[in-house]
Amino acid sequence: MTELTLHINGEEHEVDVDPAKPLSAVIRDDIGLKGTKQGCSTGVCGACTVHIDGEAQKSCMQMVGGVIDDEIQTIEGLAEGEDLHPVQEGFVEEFGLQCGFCTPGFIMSATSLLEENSDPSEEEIKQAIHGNTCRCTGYTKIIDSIEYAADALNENESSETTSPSD
Amino acid sequence: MIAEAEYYRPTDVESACHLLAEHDEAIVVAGGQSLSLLTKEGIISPEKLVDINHIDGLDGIDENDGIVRIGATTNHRTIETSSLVEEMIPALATSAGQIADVQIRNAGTIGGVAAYADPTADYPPVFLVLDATIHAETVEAENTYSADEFFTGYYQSALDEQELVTEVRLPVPSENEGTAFEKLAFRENDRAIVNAAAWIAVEDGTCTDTRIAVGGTTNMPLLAEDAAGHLEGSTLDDTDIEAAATAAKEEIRIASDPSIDEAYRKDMVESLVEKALTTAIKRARGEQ
Repeated sequence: MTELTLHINGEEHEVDVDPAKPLSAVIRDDIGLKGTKQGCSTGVCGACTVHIDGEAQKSCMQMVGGVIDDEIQTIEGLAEGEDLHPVQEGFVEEFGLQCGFCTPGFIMSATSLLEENSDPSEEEIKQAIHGNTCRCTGYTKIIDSIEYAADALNENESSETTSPSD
Repeated sequence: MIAEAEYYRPTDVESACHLLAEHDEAIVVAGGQSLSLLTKEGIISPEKLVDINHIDGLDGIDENDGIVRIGATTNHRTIETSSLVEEMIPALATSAGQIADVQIRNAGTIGGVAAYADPTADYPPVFLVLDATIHAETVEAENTYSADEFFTGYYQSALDEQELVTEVRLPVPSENEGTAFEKLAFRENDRAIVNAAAWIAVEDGTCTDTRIAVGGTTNMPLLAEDAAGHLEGSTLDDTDIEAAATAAKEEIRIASDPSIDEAYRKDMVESLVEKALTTAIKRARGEQ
């Protein structure tokens, strides 16, 4: 075992693990953040998606030894207290989930997309979630949820820039 | 569970090469997207891992004197979205964008694809048609391989175990040259059943030189030399393109695969070569 320090959701976590252990397993078993799901464990389903230095990646496909210098964000790092992230709100408002197992992965892919591109087309949304599998919704409601979030983010931005106090 | 691994994070090429020289069994970690799968499935159990992602200057894309240089740890997403690559070598941008999905493209690297030598990989046919070179280092030497000599078999390359891929260099097509890439997979962006790339030079309406390559059909990507021979000196009419595609169908080896009919794959070689040539010719003529 090797002692490693991970930076997750702005906090430092000390773990004593095999550096070749998949990041998803460390996040869940050693750190206890269970929001990140392990579905297929073969890089297909995307349920384990987290942000590594701001980019969506599949945490089951990363050895933990490779990410000790990186900022990792999981689904637990999105909400501020009781205030949900707009993408989380979108999934609630547009019923973007049924069983919910895939949802954290979809939300991490969607937040990464919207940070890069705040007004994506439907095609761009489909590209961004190509690596995430949902077996319940048929995807339509997920796309609606991400569009809801994009609209909400753009409204916030435009209301900030046109604020009367400016 | 695999045995406890020793995990090294060298910060320069020299230290990485020393680690590879000292530990015969060491395995390089680049993007890790294939390696993680192999270790989790128990296909390999590495005892020593050399992670090259912390080496300064091993990633990045630049162009100098008509050569695009892409560092080994540059990921597919960076290549796909690079305006330099899109403008200068559109076939490479296309092939990068058709690898797996965004999460995997954010991690997987061009050096990793080269070294892994997966016969269904999407970059190698592009490397072959552009006559790209793959650069590798050891403690003692810097070695340069042409793409044609680099891929030697099923997950096999010309590299020995102590060599570290450092970069890929791709000549930029000039104004009268064009490139294109085509891929067929069971699902969009899945592993290729067949892929194909074309590079063509056109002067006064006549083909002066061309290279066509096909991947996914056998143990390594192959140049379709008979097909190229049909086009050189031709005026690139539809019949010339069709004759070249048919020649590619005849000459490209197809390894038997119980899941895909051989006749179907041959037809797909013909179809993808025709499509790639058509696009490459348009680009060479400045029409696209």
